[in-house]
Amino acid sequence: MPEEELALEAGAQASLDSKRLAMAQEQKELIEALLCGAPHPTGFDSARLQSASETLARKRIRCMQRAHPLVQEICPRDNDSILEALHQFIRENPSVHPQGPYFDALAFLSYLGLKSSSRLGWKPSRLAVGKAAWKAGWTAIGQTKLGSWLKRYLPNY
Amino acid sequence: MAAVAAADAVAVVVANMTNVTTITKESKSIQIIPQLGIGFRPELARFIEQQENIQFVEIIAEDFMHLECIPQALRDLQKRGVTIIPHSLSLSVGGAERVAVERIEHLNSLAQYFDSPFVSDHIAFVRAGNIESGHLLPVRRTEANLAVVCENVHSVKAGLSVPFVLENIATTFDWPDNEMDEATFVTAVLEQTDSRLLLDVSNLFANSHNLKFDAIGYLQSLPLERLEYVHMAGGIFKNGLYHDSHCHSLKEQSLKLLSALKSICSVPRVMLERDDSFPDMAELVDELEAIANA
Repeated sequence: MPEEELALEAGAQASLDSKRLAMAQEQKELIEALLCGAPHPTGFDSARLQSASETLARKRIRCMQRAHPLVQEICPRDNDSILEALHQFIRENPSVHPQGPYFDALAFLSYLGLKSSSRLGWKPSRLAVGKAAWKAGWTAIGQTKLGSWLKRYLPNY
Repeated sequence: MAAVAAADAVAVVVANMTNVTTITKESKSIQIIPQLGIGFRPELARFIEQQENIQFVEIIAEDFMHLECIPQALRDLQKRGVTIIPHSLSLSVGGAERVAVERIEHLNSLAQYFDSPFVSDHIAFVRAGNIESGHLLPVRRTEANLAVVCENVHSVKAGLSVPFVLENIATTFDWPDNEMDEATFVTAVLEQTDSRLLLDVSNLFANSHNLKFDAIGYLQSLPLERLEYVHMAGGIFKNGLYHDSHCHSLKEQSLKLLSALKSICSVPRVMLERDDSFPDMAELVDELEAIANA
């Protein structure tokens, strides 16, 4: 490639890189406003951003509940006080786990185990966790031949 | 090929592997009946298995990170001739960061595994400043950002062995100081990168309601010859805003827009998305019928 063309191409790439930097900054400001409680960037409709921020938190919780049955078990959707534990987790961990909702749910469960008694004033009851494990066990058996037999002969199974 | 004589008009129905075309002699117009599809979710596997009219399913690429863990249900669908379309949520082609090569490779590996005709993602960003949003966020529509998005899309296309299809997203807020409207931005991305269009009609309804623009005008200004398939999903009105939740029933407004779209172009494929609060089978069947007949 002639020298002039190479120079032009390098100039175009440098220009694109600087556009990328400016874009990175504006997107960082928006995402921090939505997820980390940072000030809203100038010009945005604050009420809309606040509403979007709440929607994102609710969606994250729903995804965790769907991804991991134990989260659903110990944080049922209609229990506001327990859901507060999830909101607290989100405030302290604004980024969703890069590997997705299942790993996000695992991080939340680990967070509860590590910090629930001191930070939240609430911890998952052993009964709830035990119940979840028991239920998961029976559900797994239900997928086997033994499960089919039990369902056929034990109406209350 | 089969010829069918009707009382009023004679229609010739041409069936092939991909779609069914009805040619009406009276109007001389050609109307393509779209293939019908649904988003594959584990909770819907049994339902999908029972629906003989489902011709394609879309899978979330991030739900199948290991090919050895592909569920039997999907392999069975593929054996039955159902097309599997990998749909990604995490490339973030609308982001300032360059698209990670591993994400492109994963999407391509799914396309190869399922022998998919194409793959898709969104014109949106999902991460910035080391924070993952877990949700699709809108890009500020400027010439400068357009150049970055196009460079990202080119890098994705370079790593794919199948065509890349891009989707419009739903949002409840917009950037200040946009230099162009959404339809212009979407059109520019598609044309400058020679990509195909996944039109989410429910997202279009959501944005036209939330950001107050004319949805029909938007449709008319899109390069609809690039249309590959259409998403339809339910949502909910809350405090004056429409949320494209994918957890509620389909809304009449979205169906009307789909009908308008069908009146101005051929829709090759249309599918239903439902992500949570799964209704009973009868309701899902009704929704599939509604989008097929819109």
